[in-house]
Amino acid sequence: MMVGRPLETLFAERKPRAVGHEALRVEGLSLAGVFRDVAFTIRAGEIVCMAGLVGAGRTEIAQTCFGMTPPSGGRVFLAGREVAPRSPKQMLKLGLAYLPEDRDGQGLVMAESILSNVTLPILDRLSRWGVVDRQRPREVASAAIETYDIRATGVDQAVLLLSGGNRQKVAFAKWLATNPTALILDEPTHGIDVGSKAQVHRIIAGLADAGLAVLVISSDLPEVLAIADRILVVAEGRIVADLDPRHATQETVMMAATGEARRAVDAAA
Amino acid sequence: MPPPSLTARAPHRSLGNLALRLRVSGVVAFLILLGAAFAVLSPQFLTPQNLRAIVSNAAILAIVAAAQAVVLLTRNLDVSVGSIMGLCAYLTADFAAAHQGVGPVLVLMPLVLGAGLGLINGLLVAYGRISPLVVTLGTLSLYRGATYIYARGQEVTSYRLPRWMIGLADATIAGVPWLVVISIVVVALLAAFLRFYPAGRRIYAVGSNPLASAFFGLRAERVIVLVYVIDGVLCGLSGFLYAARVGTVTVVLASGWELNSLAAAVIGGVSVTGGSGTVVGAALGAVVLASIDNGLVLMGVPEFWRMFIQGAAIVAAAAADVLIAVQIRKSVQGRRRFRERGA
Repeated sequence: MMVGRPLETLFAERKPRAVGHEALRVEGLSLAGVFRDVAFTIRAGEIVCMAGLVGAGRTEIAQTCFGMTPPSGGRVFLAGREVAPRSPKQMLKLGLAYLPEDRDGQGLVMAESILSNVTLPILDRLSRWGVVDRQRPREVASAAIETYDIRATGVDQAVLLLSGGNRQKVAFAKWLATNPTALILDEPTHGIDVGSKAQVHRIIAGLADAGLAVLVISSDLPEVLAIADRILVVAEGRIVADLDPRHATQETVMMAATGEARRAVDAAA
Repeated sequence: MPPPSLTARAPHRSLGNLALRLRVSGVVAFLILLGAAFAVLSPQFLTPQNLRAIVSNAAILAIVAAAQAVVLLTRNLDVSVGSIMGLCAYLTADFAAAHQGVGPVLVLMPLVLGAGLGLINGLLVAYGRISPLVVTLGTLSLYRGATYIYARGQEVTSYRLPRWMIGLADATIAGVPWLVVISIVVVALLAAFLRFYPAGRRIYAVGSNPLASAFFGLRAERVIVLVYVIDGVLCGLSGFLYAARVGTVTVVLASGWELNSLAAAVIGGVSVTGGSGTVVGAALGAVVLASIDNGLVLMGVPEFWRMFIQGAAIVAAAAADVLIAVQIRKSVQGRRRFRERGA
């Protein structure tokens, strides 16, 4: 293997464990013209993957849960309590975090250091009497470099000088610093090298083992089958299948993802 | 085999970091070069009296340039700074002329007025979603027009202003003019705010990447309103100080300062594409402009040339900014290519 790692460790080993309480539940969620009647539940310690074709509405569903675009109908529950998603700020405070797919464009402040990126969402917590503390942000950033194995010259290195995989790890650190209870990852391994990919999978598995509820949006089917505890297949703005990865194959997932489209073509013909 | 990212570390990365730093320290180097050139060309340039004249002339522009820099950091700009200064100065001077007994508490008046005018700019840009250039070009005329309407062709002459206000311009503390002290304190406070306060750090974040800011729960609109209010307050203060300095407050006070403040900020290394630069750099940019003005006068260069040379300095500074940005991008890409080959 070109990165010097045996194939079987590319996907993290998941020790089967009992899933905990309900973390994120969505009922009848709709956004006019984009998706409708979406319902799913994610429990603490569970990794749920959302598979489907690009444009099926997966990102939109996630961003609606995160408060980027208010839903036109439906209900969202966080840890059993109903919430009305209005803004990312509100949802972050309530314990839901969302890592956007375009991490360079939407996830990171490229020209700034690892230090300022990791601490940006939690500046208020790192401040004393309104002033940003001098020492604590450095500790948080150093701990992040350690925890996520970020390859960098130090906490002051600008993020744009890092590789794609390391940038993704910085993005992880940035959102996890907010201490979420549920985490949505949008294409977390898109555009990063194979070695870092394995590390990202290990991080995701570690987070679930630590009790986080994780929703992963991914178009990489081998990845979906390897890391998921459950697979939700989205097609044309609806959840069309809820599969068990132990019995699912790439073919069954693809069938579910395209079945809806094929029926539409048949109907038109 | 070690992870590929470790194999290509040193040369490109340090070059990239150097280029990032250069953006800030470039103005200092430029100032030293400029000073050396003028010192050779004119023996009077480096005398203490002349240096004091330069910093006195730069003091007020330094505050306005710092205000402009705060706005530029968020990828916006304010071309109404001169009109805010003019309106605040005129209303305050007129009020002071009518109420001689008010005393130094008067200085609050231009600050509040400036905050209000800045708030209008900020709300239109942030929530009206109108281009900042269009909004502030509009308010450039609007605020100046309001000054004309209010003044009805009158002016507030220096003998109608309170004595302490006129005295402020010439007063010194330990040999340093008050204006310079005020300017240094204001710029230092602003720099500290940007560096040590969460709100200040968010200004940089919004400018660097407005989209990302939204994803981690930052409301860019509020930050934009905040920077225009800060900008307005500082322009109000500058208008007051400028009125005190020139004595006679006319309706055209500080017209054309939008160009000077933008020039100072850009020369001071503040990127017009947002997120990069410092207010201290912008203030030093004001010192550069004052030095150019002063040096050219000492060398007997005709007035017409000064505008030409100032314009050339702006273009050169903006070009340098672009070149540095290209260098940063290149060094990153170079490193990536190297890494891919190594892997």
